[in-house]
Amino acid sequence: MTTRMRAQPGERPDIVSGRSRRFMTEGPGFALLMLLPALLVLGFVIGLPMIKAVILSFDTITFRRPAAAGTYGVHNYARLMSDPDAWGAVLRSALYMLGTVAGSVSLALGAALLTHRVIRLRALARLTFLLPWTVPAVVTALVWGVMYDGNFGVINRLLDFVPFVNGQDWLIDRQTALAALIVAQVWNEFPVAYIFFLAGLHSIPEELYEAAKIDRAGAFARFRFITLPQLRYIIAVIVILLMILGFKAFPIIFILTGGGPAGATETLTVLTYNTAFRSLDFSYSATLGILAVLVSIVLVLGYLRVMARADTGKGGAV
Amino acid sequence: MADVAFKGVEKSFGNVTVIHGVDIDIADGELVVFVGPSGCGKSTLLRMLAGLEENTGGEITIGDDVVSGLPPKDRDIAMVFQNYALYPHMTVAENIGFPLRMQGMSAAERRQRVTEAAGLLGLETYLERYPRELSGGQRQRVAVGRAIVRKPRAFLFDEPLSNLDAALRVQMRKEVKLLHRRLGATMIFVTHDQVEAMTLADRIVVLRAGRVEQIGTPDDIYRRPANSFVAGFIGSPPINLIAGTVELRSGSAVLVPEADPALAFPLPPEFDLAPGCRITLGIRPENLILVPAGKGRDLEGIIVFCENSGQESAVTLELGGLQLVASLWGDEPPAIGDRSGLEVRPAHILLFDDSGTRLKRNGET
Repeated sequence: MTTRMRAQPGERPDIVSGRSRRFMTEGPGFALLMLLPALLVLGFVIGLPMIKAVILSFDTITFRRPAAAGTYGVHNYARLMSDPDAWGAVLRSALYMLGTVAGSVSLALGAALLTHRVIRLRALARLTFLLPWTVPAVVTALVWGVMYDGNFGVINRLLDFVPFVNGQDWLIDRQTALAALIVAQVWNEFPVAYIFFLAGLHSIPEELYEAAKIDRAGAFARFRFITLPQLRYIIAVIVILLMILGFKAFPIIFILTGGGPAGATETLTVLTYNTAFRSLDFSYSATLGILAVLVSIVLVLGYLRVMARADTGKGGAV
Repeated sequence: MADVAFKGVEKSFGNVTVIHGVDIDIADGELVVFVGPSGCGKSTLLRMLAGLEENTGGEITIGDDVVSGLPPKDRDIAMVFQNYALYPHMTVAENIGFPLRMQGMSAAERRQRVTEAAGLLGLETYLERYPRELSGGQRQRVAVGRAIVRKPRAFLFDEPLSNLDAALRVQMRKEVKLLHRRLGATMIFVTHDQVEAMTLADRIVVLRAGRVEQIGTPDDIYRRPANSFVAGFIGSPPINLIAGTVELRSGSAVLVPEADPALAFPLPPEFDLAPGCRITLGIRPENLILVPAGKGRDLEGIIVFCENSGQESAVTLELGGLQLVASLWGDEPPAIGDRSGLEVRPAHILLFDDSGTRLKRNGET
């Protein structure tokens, strides 16, 4: 049996146990303990596959040469450097990303400007613009697939009424396929930006507009000198968020074209999938995946930087 | 600069009328203060003049132009807002220069005008700072700078000092007054603070519930209020109002208060008063004089409360069922619970009829 002794005056107290108790009660110990279960789950579901992917990218697991498995080296990275398909896919990803960002931001800003001062039917107007977000990407892809159809799609039917414009096989023509996918993606994701912009517009004090009106600013000048500068951090955050979403977009492209026609819409994510599950070259696919992760990290760093600037109040209102 | 006129101006929101046919003439170069309690319509009047609200009736003119229906940019006025309304993403120089930029003025000319305005307001060293880097008083100066840089026909101030602390408010009040003298501009200033109104104005417009109660110089408003509302609203500590009935005692008219019929306040003979009529006597605290108790005083009471602000004490006396406030200047404040006599300075007695309108003394114009 152990007995606990209280430190008597003049006696040295038990320093070690005092420190560890303080670490648990006042220091970060308790917080770490509480976070531990979540950290373990995250490590298991995110960390482990990442490590596995990195290992896989140095391995040689491919159905074309099953016997080569276990041969480690940088051969996949060397192949990536000189693979025109991979860099073509990166370029298409970049185009897709820029197209969806430009489309979503302008559409969302326009919709937010239109609806934030609406008083009658305000809820209906907002719901209309939020609706596409509630539709799963797979459903969006299927609906747009039907609309784009060359023979009976509604888009070509509507174009019949426009003089001098002919209908197209939107998803089959190499010239139009990527743009057609971008439009479907924009329709699906612009409500994310719309919500942010609506909140941003509501946070701009009405007095600024009133002061600008008295200072003789017209409607465009008020947009240029008040609205845009006041929204600049929200715009920056949304642009980077949409860049991340656009860069890793997959379901709409995969369902509508699968990367075709002849690779015209094969972005890095679709190429990664096709390499793994069509060409069955798992190691090279992992290498492409690592490339996608690196690009995403750069984008996330940009996002964090913008957030940090916004947090320090460099764009704060008075 | 220009004169400004409201002619029968009305404002309704749906079925609710908030401004009821207001007529105000403001002369060129005058500093007029709109004052009144919250919800009296003073800010609405100013916003209608600025063009930020539309008047639903009547006419507003600036100079010779009817401006009703014109957008703010075509009215050539400048306005200083309660919360400054500085553009947070622009520097002080850009804020002050913004109206000039909107006029299409060249950058060089703009810079010169901004420097001039900044010099006038002591802002030269802050031109490259952002509003968030300035104190409340400095921000308010920038807002004033943005108003004066354009040389508009009229300046509008919408409670611009209410966000400042007491000491700064006094200083800014002085600065606005000096600025008015220097520029000779037509200025319209809205406030709910009667001290601000009294100290700033050439003329005061007292408003209540969308109607003008009185327009006059600060002295007029204070000494000759049109009615009991104006008398009660202007003055701190507020005027003592005693409702009662006129009676004749020993050939002289006295007021017998409703609150305590045992008391009688002698009334000056310059009023034509019929015995039995109901009136309200108004006497400002500084016109009630505390005198030693006893010695056959008519009015005597117990001191129940004393608010000492250093230079002045507002002493509350209880006389039977009445409580009256007297101002005591400079002297040591009396002790609570003491008895004190009270003398009324008859020349300063104000009387209001049953409807609240002030009764004039015989011979008063």
